[in-house]
Amino acid sequence: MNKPVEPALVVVADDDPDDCLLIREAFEDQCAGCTLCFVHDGEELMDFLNGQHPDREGKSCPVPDLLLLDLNMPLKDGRQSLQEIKSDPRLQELPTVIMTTSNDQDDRDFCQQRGANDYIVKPRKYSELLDVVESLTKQWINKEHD
Amino acid sequence: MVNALKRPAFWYCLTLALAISLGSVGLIILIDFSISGPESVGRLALRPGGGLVALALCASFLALLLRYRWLATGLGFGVIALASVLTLVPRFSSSDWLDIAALNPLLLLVILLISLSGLAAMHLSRGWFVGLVCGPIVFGLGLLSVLSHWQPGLSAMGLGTITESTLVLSPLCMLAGLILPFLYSIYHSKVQFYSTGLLVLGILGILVTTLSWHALRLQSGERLIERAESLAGQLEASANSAFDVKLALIRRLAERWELLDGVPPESFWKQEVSSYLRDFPDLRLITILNRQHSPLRTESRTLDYRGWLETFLSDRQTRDWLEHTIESRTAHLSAPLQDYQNRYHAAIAVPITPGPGYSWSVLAVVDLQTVYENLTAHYDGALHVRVYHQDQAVFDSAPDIPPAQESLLASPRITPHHDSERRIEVYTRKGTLPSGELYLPPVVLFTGLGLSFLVMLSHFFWRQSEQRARSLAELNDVLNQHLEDERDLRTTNETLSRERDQFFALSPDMFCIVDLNSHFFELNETFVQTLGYTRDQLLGSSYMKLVHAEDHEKITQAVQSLTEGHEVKDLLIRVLDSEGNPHWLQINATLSADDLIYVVARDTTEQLAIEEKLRENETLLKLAERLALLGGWVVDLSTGKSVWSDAVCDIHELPRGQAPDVEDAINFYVDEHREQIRAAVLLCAETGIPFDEELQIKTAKGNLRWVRAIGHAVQDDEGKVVKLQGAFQDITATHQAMEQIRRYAERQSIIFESITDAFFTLDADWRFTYVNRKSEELLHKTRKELIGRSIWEMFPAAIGSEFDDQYRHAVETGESVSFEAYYAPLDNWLEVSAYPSDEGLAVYYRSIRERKEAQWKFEEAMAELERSNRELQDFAFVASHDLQEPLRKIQAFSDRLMTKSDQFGPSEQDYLSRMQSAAGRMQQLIEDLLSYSRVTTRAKPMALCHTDDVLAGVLQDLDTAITREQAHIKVQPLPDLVGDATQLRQVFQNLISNAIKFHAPDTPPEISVYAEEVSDSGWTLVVQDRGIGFDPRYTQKLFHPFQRLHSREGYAGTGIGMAIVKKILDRHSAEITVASAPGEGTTFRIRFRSSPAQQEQSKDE
Repeated sequence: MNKPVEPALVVVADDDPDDCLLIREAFEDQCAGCTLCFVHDGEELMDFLNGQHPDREGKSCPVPDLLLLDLNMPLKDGRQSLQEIKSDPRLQELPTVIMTTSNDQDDRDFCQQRGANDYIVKPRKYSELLDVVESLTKQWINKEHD
Repeated sequence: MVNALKRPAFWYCLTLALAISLGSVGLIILIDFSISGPESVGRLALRPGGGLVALALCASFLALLLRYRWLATGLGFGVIALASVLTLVPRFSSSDWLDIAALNPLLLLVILLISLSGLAAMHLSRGWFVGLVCGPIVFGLGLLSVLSHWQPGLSAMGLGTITESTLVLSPLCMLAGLILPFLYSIYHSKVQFYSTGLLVLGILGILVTTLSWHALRLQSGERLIERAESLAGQLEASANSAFDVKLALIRRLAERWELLDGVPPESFWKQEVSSYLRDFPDLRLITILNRQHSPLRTESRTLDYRGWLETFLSDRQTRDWLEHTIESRTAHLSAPLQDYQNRYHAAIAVPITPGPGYSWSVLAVVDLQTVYENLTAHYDGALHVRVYHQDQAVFDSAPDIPPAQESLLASPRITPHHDSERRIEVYTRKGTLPSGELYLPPVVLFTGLGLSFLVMLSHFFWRQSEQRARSLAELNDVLNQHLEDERDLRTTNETLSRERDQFFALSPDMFCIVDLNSHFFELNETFVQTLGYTRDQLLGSSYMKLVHAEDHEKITQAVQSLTEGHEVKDLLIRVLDSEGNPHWLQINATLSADDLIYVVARDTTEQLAIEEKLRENETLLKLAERLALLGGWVVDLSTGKSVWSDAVCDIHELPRGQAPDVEDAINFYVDEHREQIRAAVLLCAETGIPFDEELQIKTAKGNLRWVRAIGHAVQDDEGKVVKLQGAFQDITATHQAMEQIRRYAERQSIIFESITDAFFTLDADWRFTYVNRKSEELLHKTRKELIGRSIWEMFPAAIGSEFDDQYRHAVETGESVSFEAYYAPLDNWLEVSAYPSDEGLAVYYRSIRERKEAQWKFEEAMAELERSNRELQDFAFVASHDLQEPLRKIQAFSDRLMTKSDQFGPSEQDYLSRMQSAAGRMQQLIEDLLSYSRVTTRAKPMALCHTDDVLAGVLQDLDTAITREQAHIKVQPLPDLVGDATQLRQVFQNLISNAIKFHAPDTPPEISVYAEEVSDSGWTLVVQDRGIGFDPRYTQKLFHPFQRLHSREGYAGTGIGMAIVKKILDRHSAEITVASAPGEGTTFRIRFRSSPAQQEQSKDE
C-alpha cells in the first residue's frame, strides 16, 4: 500500500459519539495516514467545507478527499447537507458516502437521486466496519496511487 | 328591343336611301341623256357612264338589303367590271361614245371599295373589318372631292368629270363611306327590316326628290337661256341706239359744215372737231373727205388713227362703200377693220355737199371695242358676250376662254342697216354654271334625300310600333284568354277542392291519399283522430310503419293489384295507433290517374268490439240478472197494476210472473223502513222526484234481505205522472261486504293505534287526515289539534328541512322514501318512511334517539380504538427502530471486545459470546417486529398482480434454500388477484420457506402450490407440504407473533412469519385456514375474494 505524500482528509459527519469512536478506530486500524475530521451536524459540516470551522480557521480549506455523511443529525440533517453539497459547483465533485443506520428504500432512492456516491448501512460488527473502511479507502483515497 | 333596333334600323334606312338615290339619279341621267343627247343647252350634261354604274350599284345594294345573296354578289362583280371597263377602255381607244361614258379613275377606286365592302360583308366571316377599312377611305375621298370644288389645289381629287357631277357624286360617296362599316351588321342582323311599304316610300320620296332636282336643273337651264337671250336683246338695242346716236351726231356735224359752203376754216374745224373728240371718247378720228375720198381736214386723238384711215381709205371695198354712202346720201357704218393693235374700228360716213357740185363726206372712226365694253360693263358676269360685225368678231367679253370650252346660249342676228350686219353670241364656259344654278339642284337633291331618309326611318319605326302594338294586342288577348281560363279553372278548382275538403274533413270514414312509394300524401281529420297521431307525424311518412307486421303482405298485394288496374274492396287489415293498439280497418282503395292511391278506411274495431260486446252483454245481462239479482219493475198509476221482472220476483222469493200491487210491495219492507219507502214512492208519484233507497225487506219466505230500490216517474205530455218504473236489486251481499269493510276499518284503526310506530296520513293539501296515538306522543300534539291542519302550519320548523325535501320528493315522484332526520323543536331523531298515494301521503316514523346515541358512542369508541391502534403501531415502529441503535452499539463494541479476546479467560469469553448471541436474537426480534409493523406502515395501494410472476420471483429468491434442501416444488398456474404485490410476495415467501424449512430430516421437502374453487367470486390458494406438521390444537397460536410450534434448536426463526402472513391477508380480506397433523404435513388454504370490480372484469372476459 502506497501512502499519499499529503495525508488524505476524510470528513465524518455524525452526531453519534460511539459511531465516531468506532469509525476513528477503524480508520486508524485500516488507513493510518488519513486525517480524520469529525463534525456533528449539517451546519458544522457546511461551515467546515466553507472554511469557517473553528478547527480550520486561518488554514487553507482544501476540499476533503472523502465525506462520510450520516442522514439523521440535529440542526441540519444529512439529506439537506447532501443537496447543498451536490448543488455547489465547488463541492459537487466531493466523494460523499452516506453512512447511516437507515436501511429504508426511500432514503436509498433519495440519496441516489441527489448524487450520493455510495450508500452504506452502518454495520453491526466491528469486523464489517473494517471491511467498509478498507473498501472506501481503496475506492476514494488510494485510487490515484494504485 | 327598341333600343337594340334603333341603330341597325338607322343604318338600314340610310343604306336603302342611298341605294334608291343612286338608282334614281342614274335613271334620270340616262333618261336625260337619251332625250337631250350628250350636249344640252343651258345645263350640264351628266355622263351616262356614271348613270349606268349608279344604277348597277343601286341594284346590288338593293339585292344585298333584300338578302339575295348571289344576286347581290353577281351585281357587285358586275359593278366592278362595268366601272373598270368604263374607266380603262376610253384610255386606250378613242370614240365619242366611249368618251362620253368615261369615268374618273378615282371614281373607279371608290366603286371598287364600295363593291368589295359589300361582297366582304356577305361572304367573309370578318367582313365587317373590310367595311371598317374601306368606309373611312371612301368617306375621305368624298370629302376631298367636295373640297376640290373650292380648293384649286385639290382639283385633281374631284370625282366627277364635270363640276356638277362632282357635287352630286361626292356627298353620295361620303354617305356610302359612312354606311360601309355597317353593311356587315345590317346583312347579318336577325331582324327583318325590309318591308314593301318602306321600299315604296323610299322610292317615291327619292324619285320625287330626284325629279325635282332634274326639273330644277332643266328650269335653271331654261332660265339661263332666257337670261342670255334677254342679254343679247339688250345689247342689240343699246348697240343700235349707240350707233344711231353716232350717226346722228356726225350727220349734224356734216350738216353744219354744208351750211358753211366749203371747207370750214382751219381754226373753226379744229375747235369743233376737238370738242367732239373730247365729248365722245369712242370717236377716235374725224375727217372730211373730198370727192376723191382724200382727207381735206383731219383731226384725230392720236396719229395712229391716221394710219388706220389711210389703210381704210386705200381699201377698195371701203371706197365702194363710200361711193355708195355718197350716193345714198345717208349715214352709213362701215365694216370693221383692225388696227395694228388688233382692235376693231369702224367708220361712220355722212355725205355732205358744201356747195353745189361738191360731194364730200365726213368720216368718223369709232372704236368698236370701247363701244361694246361700255355697253356690257354692267352685265351679268357669268354670261359672256361676243359681237360679230359682218362676221368679224369685234368684241369678246371673255377673250381668254377657248372656243372649245364655250357653251353657246343665244345668238340672235341683228340687221340694223342694210349694209351693216351684226351678230351677238351669248355663251358660258362649258362644264360650269352660275353659282345659283350650280348649287341649288344638289342642295335640293340632298335635302330631299335626307327628308326621304327621315320619312323612311319614321316609317320603319312606325311599322315597328304598329307591329309591336299588334303583337302586344295579341299577347293581351292571349293573356286575357288565359286569365279567363285561369279564373274559370280556379272557380272550378275552388268549388271542387272546397267540396273535397268538406267531404274530406267531415267524412266519418277515415280517408287518406298515399303515393305508390307508400308515403302519406293527405289524410283527413278522422284518420288522424282515430289513430291518435298528428298530421305532421304522418304526412310524408311511410304508411307501412302503421300497418301490423302480419298484414304487410296483404298491403303489398293490394298495391300490386291497384297498379294492375283493379280496385281494392273491403280489405281488412290491422293498423297500429299511436299507443300501439291494433285497429281493424276495412279498406277500399283506387289508384288515380296521377298515381295516387285514394283510400277510404273504416275503423271496424269498435264495431267488432261492439258486436262482440252486444253478444256478451246479452249473455251477461241474463247472467247479471241472475247473479246480481237485479230486476226491473213498472207501476201503472192509473190502474195501480205493476209488472215485475223475474229477478224482482226472485228477490222477493215470489213465484216468477207475479206482480203484487204497490201496497203489497211496500209491505215486504221491514217495519222500520216501510214508512220511508212509502213516503218516497208517494213523493215520486206526485212530484216526479226519483228515489234511490237502500232498505231491508222480509221475503215471502221470511228471509231478511237488503235491497236497493230505485224509481223514477214517467210523465205524459202534460207533465202528469202516469207511470213509475225502476230497478230493484238484492244488495244483501254488498251490504254484508260493507259491514265487513267497516269492521276492517275499525280493526285497522285499532292496529294503527296499537302499533309502536307513529303514523299519520296527509291529504293532497298536506293536511292531517289521520294521526295515531303514538304520533300524539312523539309530536306532543293531540289528534284534535292536528286533524285538518296543514303539517307545515303545525310544524313550521320542518319547512326547508330534510322532511320537506323528502315528503315533496315522494309526492312529486310517487316513490316512497325512507330517511333519518333530526327535528330540532322536538329534540328528536326520527326514522321516517313515507308512502305517497292518490289521497296524499302516509308516514310511518319512530324515534331513534336511543339508537343514535348508541351509534355515536360506538363511533367514538371505534375512533378511540383506531387512535390507540395507530399509536400502538407507531410505538412498535419507533420503538423497534430506536431500539436497534443501542443494540447495534452493544454488538459493535462486544465485537470490538471479541477481537481482544486473547486477553480474557475462558469464562469471560463464554460470557461475551452469550451476550453476543442474546444481542443477535434481540436484533432478530426487533427486525421481525419492524417487519410486522411494516405490514401497515409500508402498505402500498392494491393493484392487479400476476400471481404467477410473484410466485416465480419468490422461487427464484429461495433458489439457494431449495437447492440446499433438495426441495421439490410443484406449481400450477394461478389466477391473478388484486393486492399489494410486495406483501403478497412476502406471503408466498413465508409460506414456501416454512414448507421448505419444516421437513423431516431424512425426507426432502415436497411442496405443491395450486388454485382451488376458482370462480367469479374468488379463488383459493393452496400451499401443501409433506413436512413435519403440527398439532391442530395450536392452529390459533400459529398466527400470533412470536409463537413457535417447534424448538429453536431444530428450526430457526422467531415465529413472526405466519403472524405477518395473517396480518397481510387480513389486509387483503383473505381468509387463511390451516389443516395439519404431526408428521402428515401441513396444508394452508387462502381464500381470496374478488372485489366487485374484479368480478365485473372477469365476467367481461
